[in-house]
Amino acid sequence: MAISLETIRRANANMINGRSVRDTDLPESVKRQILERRYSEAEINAAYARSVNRDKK
Amino acid sequence: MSNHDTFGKLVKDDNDFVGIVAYTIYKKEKNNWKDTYEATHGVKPTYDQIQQYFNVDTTTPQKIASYRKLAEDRLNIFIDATTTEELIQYKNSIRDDAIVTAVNSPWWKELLINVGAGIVGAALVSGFSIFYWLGQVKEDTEFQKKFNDKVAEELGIIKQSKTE
Repeated sequence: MAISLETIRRANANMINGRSVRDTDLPESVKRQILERRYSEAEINAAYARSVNRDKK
Repeated sequence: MSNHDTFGKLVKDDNDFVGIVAYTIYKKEKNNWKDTYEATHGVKPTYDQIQQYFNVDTTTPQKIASYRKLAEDRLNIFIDATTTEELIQYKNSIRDDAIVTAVNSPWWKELLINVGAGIVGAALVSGFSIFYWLGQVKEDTEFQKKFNDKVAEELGIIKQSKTE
């Protein structure tokens, strides 16, 4: 799934404004799934490395 | 040049995004400490004071691990926010597609709807006109007399034609 910069900007604005996943009108089960999924340090760094390498190509 | 090498301790390599965020958290904490120091003492802390009172605590393995943990937490919040935003946009795009599909119905469907609406409209206007006319006729005695005469005349003709 490719996430656009616009999505990231909105997400960042929501974080700045203190709006969390719980404040959205998504179904409760979806919210729970999002909140329960926790990414480890290794997963975050691996995703970042993939993204950097993709941009270099 | 600082000798505590906090950046080197927090950021393992170029792909260590968690470490980069951890370093940002460290810098923010350092700036807050300097601001508090200045507010309390009226002067900015010197490099040596920063080394002695701030960096002595912040560069221990425990503190480095703590910064990395904070960064991981913060990044998970960001991932949650991004995922949520992406899902909201996806949900909105599905809703918009459904609206567009509903609006752009096929020509034959549009034709049927318009013909149907035309028939219903004509029936309503005709019904209204008939009732209006009947209402007018009911109160017009002159017309009623003429109408009765006409009917009688017609019936007379019919009777006459039957007897013949």
